[in-house]
Amino acid sequence: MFALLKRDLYLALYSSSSFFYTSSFFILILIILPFLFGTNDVQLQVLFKGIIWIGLSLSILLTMERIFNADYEDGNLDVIIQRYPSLETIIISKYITHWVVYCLPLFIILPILSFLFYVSLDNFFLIFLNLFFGSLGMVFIVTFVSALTLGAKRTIFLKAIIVIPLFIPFLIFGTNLGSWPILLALSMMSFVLSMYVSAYGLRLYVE
Amino acid sequence: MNLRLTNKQINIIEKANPFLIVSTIVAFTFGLYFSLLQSPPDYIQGDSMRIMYIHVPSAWFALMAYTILAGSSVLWFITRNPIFSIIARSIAQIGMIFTLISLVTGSIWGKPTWGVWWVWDARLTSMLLLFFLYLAYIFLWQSITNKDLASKISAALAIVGFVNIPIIKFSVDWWNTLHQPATISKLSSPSIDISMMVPLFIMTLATFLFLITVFFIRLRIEILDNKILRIREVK
Amino acid sequence: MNELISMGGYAPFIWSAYGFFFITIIILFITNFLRLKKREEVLNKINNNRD
Repeated sequence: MFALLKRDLYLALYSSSSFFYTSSFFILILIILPFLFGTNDVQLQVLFKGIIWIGLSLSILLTMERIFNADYEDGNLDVIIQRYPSLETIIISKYITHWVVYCLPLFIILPILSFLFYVSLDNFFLIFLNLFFGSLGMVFIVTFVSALTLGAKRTIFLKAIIVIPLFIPFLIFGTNLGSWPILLALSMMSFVLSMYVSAYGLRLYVE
Repeated sequence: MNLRLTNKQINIIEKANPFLIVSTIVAFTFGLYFSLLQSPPDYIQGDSMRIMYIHVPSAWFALMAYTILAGSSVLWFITRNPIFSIIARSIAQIGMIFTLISLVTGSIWGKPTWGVWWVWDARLTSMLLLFFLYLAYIFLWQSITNKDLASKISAALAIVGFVNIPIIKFSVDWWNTLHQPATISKLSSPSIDISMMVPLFIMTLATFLFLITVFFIRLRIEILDNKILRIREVK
Repeated sequence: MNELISMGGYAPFIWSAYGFFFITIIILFITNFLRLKKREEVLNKINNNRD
């Protein structure tokens, strides 16, 4: 289990040249804001809550082909599945990798970002909790969608069309401060769904 | 892929076609007569509520089609009978078209009623998301070249989408009460006069007959595809 | 007759909604019907070649 996780993390961090790319991406998405809407601090606070979710969705969504596709295309997925007979181990390893590489940087730079956008300390903790529980559920969703679409022609837009309607509940509750318990519930539901569906998808393609 | 349809059943599907076409046309003629001429205008909305007679059946069948899509996907998982995969696929296209019709006619109805073409009302937003669920299903089906695999994958997606519909509905409703003052919810008119029930009923029946007609044509397409495939395999 | 066409002032809305409805379902019917005819042609061709 840990050997697999280590391999996945190593490959992901190696191929995308780590943390700094992802965190720069988040910072740049948010730096667009004052240029688009001016420097009114009240307005910026409101917009910050929304745009940060767009940044998170994009970073999870645009990189979803790295979850299974690379391993599937070079044949490594068969080898991994033979070595680790429980698919659940493989799927959980993929969850952790995708979350660490494409979500964790956001939480590290979140203090700086909220400083830039005049977010108060209380709001900062609420935004942090919302993003944390929401990002978990969103990672579960993209994982099962990418397991299902392994054999589809490689179009990120097809995957976006499938994923975005499933993201909507997370975005609705995510932008409302203090609704992190609902996000936690949604994440737990998507975890159960994701486990079944990802295992089903993987089994179909690897047979 | 064995369809497991008897010759008798295939015969019925083929013979029913002209009968279905004629009865659809007759039903629509009656429906148009009643909905445009025979029924009185609404005393608040005037003649604009006549759009209801096409909008409401389309919305009903858009929702019903997704239920059939998910139901036949579940049945496909249980029985592995390819006929359920075909039913799911045929109904998906029809359902998407009816979702589109209900969105467009609802928008046209909205202009004289609310003064704007679109309102971010809970019901409209849910319908819009339903349209994208249909779209995702159809695109996924088309993008997988191995059709045997495609039917397995899209059945799973249909069920996931169906599980998500109540979650989407719940969150959109909640979002709507948060962001909208409750002044615009004119769409819900619980008391429908009996004079409106007759055209609505006939139009619903006509739309249903049309749906069955197209559905049977889709079934025949699949049966012929199957035959062509088998002849080519034998060669 | 004029009353039918003017629809109490709502003519553009009603006629465009009904028009959209019928044009869409007719297109849906025709595309599927043509696909059926194409399949029947292919099948006939195959059968003729075999004989």
